[in-house]
Amino acid sequence: MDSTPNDELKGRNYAIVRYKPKAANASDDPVPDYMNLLAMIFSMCGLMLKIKWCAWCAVFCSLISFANSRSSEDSRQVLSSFMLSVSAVVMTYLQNPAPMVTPW
Amino acid sequence: QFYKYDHTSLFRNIEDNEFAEFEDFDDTEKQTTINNGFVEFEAEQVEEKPTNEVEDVVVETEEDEEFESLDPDEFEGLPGDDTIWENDKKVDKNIKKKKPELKIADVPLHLRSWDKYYVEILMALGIFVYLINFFIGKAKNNTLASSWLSHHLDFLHKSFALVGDDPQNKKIESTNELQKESEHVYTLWCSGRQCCEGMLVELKLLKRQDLISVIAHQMKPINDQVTISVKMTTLPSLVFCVGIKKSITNLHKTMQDLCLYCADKAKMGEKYNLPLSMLMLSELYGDVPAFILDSTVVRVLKDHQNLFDSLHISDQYSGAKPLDQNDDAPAIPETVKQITLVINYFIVPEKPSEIGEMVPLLKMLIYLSDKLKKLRLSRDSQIKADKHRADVADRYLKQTHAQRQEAAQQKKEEKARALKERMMNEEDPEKQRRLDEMIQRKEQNKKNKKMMKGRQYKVKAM
Repeated sequence: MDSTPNDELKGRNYAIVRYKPKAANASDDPVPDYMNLLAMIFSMCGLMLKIKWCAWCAVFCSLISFANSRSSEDSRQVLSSFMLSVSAVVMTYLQNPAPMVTPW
Repeated sequence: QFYKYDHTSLFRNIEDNEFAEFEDFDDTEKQTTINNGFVEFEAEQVEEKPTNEVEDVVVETEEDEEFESLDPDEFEGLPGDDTIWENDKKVDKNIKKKKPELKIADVPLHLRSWDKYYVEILMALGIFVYLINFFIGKAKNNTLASSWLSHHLDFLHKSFALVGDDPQNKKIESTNELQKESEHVYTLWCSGRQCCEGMLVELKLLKRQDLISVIAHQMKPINDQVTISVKMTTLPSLVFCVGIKKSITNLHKTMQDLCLYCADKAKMGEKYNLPLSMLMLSELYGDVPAFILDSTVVRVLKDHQNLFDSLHISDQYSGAKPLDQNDDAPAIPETVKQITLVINYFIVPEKPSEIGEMVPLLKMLIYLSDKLKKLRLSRDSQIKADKHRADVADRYLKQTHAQRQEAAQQKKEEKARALKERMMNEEDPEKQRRLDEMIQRKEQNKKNKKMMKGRQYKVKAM
């Protein structure tokens, strides 16, 4: 055990072991990764095919992946998916400012 | 004066003309109708003459007739006169100077009618509500975690030298703080206790910050969980688990060591006066359960039946089974001596003191870890336990043995093929002959070995 007993602990016969955070694999909580992927796909659809509801879904998906993201994960990925989805919404409305037509 | 053609009336006249033929009009008049300021021109109807009277046909073009009254000289030098070359340039200049009289239609701007955008407003509202719920949920999880810590901190300080470890911090000092893994998972690492490598506390709270999960929890209620796992340096060789029915059956399916060492079904624990809602799984049913489920432990379990989920003590702990079962060469999982206690924590708004009730469960865990250090299995239990571990080790070896055999077989075949190839593309006939002989001799030896084996079996069989 890699312990460096300081003065106070010298007398006691135990060792202090440092915390080794276990690998934060995606298996325990797949939600943020799936939502991130979904946000990317929806914003691509929104941008390429100019579908408005896809752009809005992309914004929601990146919001959900932000809420569930692990703090150990770097936030750049969440930020980039958020920027992409917001740009998808802006582009679809710039291109065709008509309001979204609801199917019902 | 520019002349404009009004196409619509032009078509009308043409139609009249077609009928005109059937009505056998004699004279073909030039129909010039003045239509609100537009001077109409109508194509001249050329009459069909009988073929025998041949005359030179004079095609009169309107322009000559029409402009006869207008003297072209009048237009000299005027911008419209395009006969003189220089004027064209002047004309161009004038046009450039004058602003084009293009009138842009006044298309209604969509931004004026906001009510049409009700779907977008709905979406924006959804985002706003989601963000509001995010901050509320985050704050609630935060208060829950800090209240858990405040209740348990002094007991932890008594039991461990280090409470709360920050991996980035080089020096060993207690942070006395929970580490935030995500908005709903907090961890705390304590170390510095005899025969105890360390204790990891994981607060797995509900995802209150995510609106979707909040809705999902309304439909399928689950509860917050606190998982406390104590890694031991010394633990007798036993695998034991006690808990409520639902979690025991779940653990029995998912945990590797429980599957390997606790073959038979979970049992009731009335003998050890366990509450009826609880089941028990053990590798050895002799002295081990009696030693673990002593009076204090059972009393604590009884008092906190609503909080207690499961207690899993194992010296062969290797976590849950890998999900992808198809990996054909399962390496022997590394095992850890670990005691894991899982506590269900129901948020009862009316009874905020709920958190304080978890402290006895933590105390019981520490008491058990101290007690198990002193446990010495009886002789036959120890023999049985060692036999179980040996069986499991053999089983893994057998599984990997098949793979190792196949690998060796493949290597041999590759070597033989390489030798044959070398022999085939060997130029020097002398060397080639020698290589060929070597290969023949090797194959001969193989055959002899097989025959010898066959004879030995026969001799034994007689």
